[in-house]
Formats: sequence, C-alpha cells, structure tokens
Amino acid sequence: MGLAQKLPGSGIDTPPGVLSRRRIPISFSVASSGKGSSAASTTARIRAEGIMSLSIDVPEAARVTIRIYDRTGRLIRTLVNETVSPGQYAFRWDGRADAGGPPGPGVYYAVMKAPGFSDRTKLIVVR
Amino acid sequence: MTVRRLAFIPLLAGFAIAGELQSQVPAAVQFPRAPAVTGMGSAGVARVGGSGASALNPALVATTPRPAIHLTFEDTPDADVRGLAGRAVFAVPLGLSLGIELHTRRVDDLVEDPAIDESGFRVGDRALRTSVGYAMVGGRLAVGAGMTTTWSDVFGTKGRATFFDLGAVYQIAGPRLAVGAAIRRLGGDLEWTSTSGEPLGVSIPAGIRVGLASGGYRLGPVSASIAADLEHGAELDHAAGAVGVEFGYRDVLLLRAGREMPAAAEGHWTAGIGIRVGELTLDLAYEAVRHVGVRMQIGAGWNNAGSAIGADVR
Repeated sequence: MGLAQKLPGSGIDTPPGVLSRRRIPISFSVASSGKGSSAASTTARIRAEGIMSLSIDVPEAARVTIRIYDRTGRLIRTLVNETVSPGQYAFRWDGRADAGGPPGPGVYYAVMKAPGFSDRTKLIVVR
Repeated sequence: MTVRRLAFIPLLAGFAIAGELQSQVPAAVQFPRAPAVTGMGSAGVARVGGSGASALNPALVATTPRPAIHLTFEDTPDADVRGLAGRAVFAVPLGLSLGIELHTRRVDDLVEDPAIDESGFRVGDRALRTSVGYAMVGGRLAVGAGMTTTWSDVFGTKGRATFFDLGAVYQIAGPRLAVGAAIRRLGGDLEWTSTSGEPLGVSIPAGIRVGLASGGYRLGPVSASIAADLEHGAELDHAAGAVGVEFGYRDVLLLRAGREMPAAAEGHWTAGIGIRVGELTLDLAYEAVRHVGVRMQIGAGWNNAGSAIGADVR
C-alpha cells in the first residue's frame, strides 16, 4: 500500500508515510456520484498542492479497492487493492496513470469498493 | 464481514501536470454517436445510410438521404454528465454530401455547498465535426473526409484539438453486405492552456477502424441487420471493437443491441429502440458504461427518405 497514509489523530497505529492535513484555501462539498448508496457524505476540497488525497475510515478489516477512471470508463490508476485493518487511511493520487504519465485535465471518477460498500466521487484535475 | 461505514473523503487538487502523457484518446475529444448507432454497440464504420456514424467514417454522409437533420439529448445521471448533439446532412455542389455535427456537454454538480459560488467551476466540452463525402461506382463506393475541432474547459484550463478522418465504404454484394474502413484522428494534439497561460500538449493517437455491416435480411415483416467494427492503432495500447444487431418490424419498430469494447476499458452492453414514422425518426439508446454509469440518449430526426432510409445495410 505504497500510497496509504494514516491520518493523524485517529488513535490507531500509523502506517508509514503519515499525511498531515494542511490548511486549505478553498473547501467545498460535492455530491457523491453514488447517490442513494449508504455512503457517508463525500467532501471534496481543493488545495494548493498538487496531490489529491482520498481518505477512508474502515471500522473492520476489509478488502478495499480504490480505482480512478476517466469519463469513458477507462481505468487510469489503481490506488489500492488489498485488505486493510481497521483504521483511517489516506491514499494519495499524484495525478499520474498506471501507465506512467498524467492523463490530462478533466473529470475523473474515484470508485471505492469494499464488501457491502461502493461509493464514487468526482475528481477534477486542472492545471 | 460487513463494513458499517467507510468515509470517503477526497481532496481535489490543482495538478501541476508535466511529463509525457499516456497514449490514449483523451476523454475530452470522445463524443457519443447517434442513438441509432449507440444502440448497436457503436458498430458503424460500414453502416451505409447511417450518418449518425459519420464520426466513425466520414464517407457515410455520402450514403445518407439528403437532407437529414437529427437532434440528440444525452444524460449520464450517475456521472452528472449531460449533452446535446445536432447533426445535419446536405447535398452540396459537385455531387458532394456535407455533414455537420455539433456537440456540447457538461459535468454538473461539481459543488454541493450552496454557499459556494459555482460559477467559476465549469467542466464542459464542445465539438464541431464537418464531413464531406462523395459516392461513385453507381453509389456502391463512397469516400469521405472529416475534420473535428473540440474545445474543453476544466475550471478555466482551456483545451483545443483539431484532427482529421479519412474513410471509405463499399457495398460488396448489393444491399446485403458492406465493408468500411477509416483512418481516424490524424494529426491531432489536444492543447491545454492553463489560466496562467502555460501550455500542455496531449497526444491523440491515430487509429485504423475497419468493419462490416450486413442487412436486408427479411422474414415476413421482420428484418435484421448486423454490424461489427475493429479499431487499432500503433500508438493505442489496446484494440477497440464493437458489434451490434438490429431487428426491425415492418420498418417501423427497430430493436437494437450491441457490445462495445473500448480501448483500454472494460466492455459494456448497449441497447436501443427506434421508431420510424414516415420521414420522422425517434431513437432511444442505453449503454452501461462500466464505472461511469448508464448513459441514455434520446434523439429525434427527419430525413427525406422516410422509413426507407438509406440502403438495406444500415
């Protein structure tokens, strides 16, 4: 889980690579694309840095996948696909595709799946 | 094992994009075909009479009844993407056919908080496609060329691309069988310019698409047509394919189904229905795009050939 980082203050053992939350100049909420699902509210924020963070709260050990797709349904990046222990994690996306280069500005969809759970949200890549 | 709650909190970022971009057709320059084509899995490079597939093969405008106009509304509710497309085909001097397509689409609901002014957060694309076709050899062979220009806006980052298509379609066995081929997206780069004026070029890989369509099979009031396409390009990481069928009842009610296999993406099923009353057409199509949602298209059109639109190979 190379991109996984434990959020501070969760009270749970911290995996390597802690991601510190920073102040953000702009914050807003966006609707989860998984409308009607049992998903918790989805919050999106823009920050000045060029790293996107997708945070999850896992109450029980679960196999979790987070994949990023473009508007045509093409897989851009797999952020995680493994079993994680309970806790809060943040997975960072540096805007690059599995193939290497960045896919370009646009709207992307991060799809998170775990047993009994599926959620999706928009990610906006700008320059 | 039940996961009771998974809070999924993304932080959106303004990326400083740099480096070599991957060689895939950018989503910003891909626009859906007409619902009559979408319903058949977007297999249409050889669909004689189907101007809605001119994005796949510009030669098809020379096989379309003229004049013809068509308007399509599309919606992908799960992805909050909506669009509108208009298509028209005209006869022009020198025996040429001219096809014009206009597309516009946008992504909505980028901001949920009503306290935030959303006016600056826009994501949308537009496209203008012009196709010129010419029929020869008694109308059995048609050739064409097309030019597509797209404009994109992602939170103020502007993108523009222009690329060209060349195509031909030939009816081998009268109305029963046609083959088509097109060289697509020639000379294209998607040029992005950030709000600070910084440019970024995204390569648009060219591809060769070949296909066949067969139709005119009738059993009483029922007719049947099939179509299949295959696309590949040296720069594309994967081949793309499409296959579809269409059944008609008295040339009034048309049922369609297909499977589209986009490059580097999971395949998905499509379905559609069409109604033709005289010179008017009404088409509805669904495609279940994996991980994005079900895209719905509804279109209405008029052509001067009524229910006998085009040839039997559509």
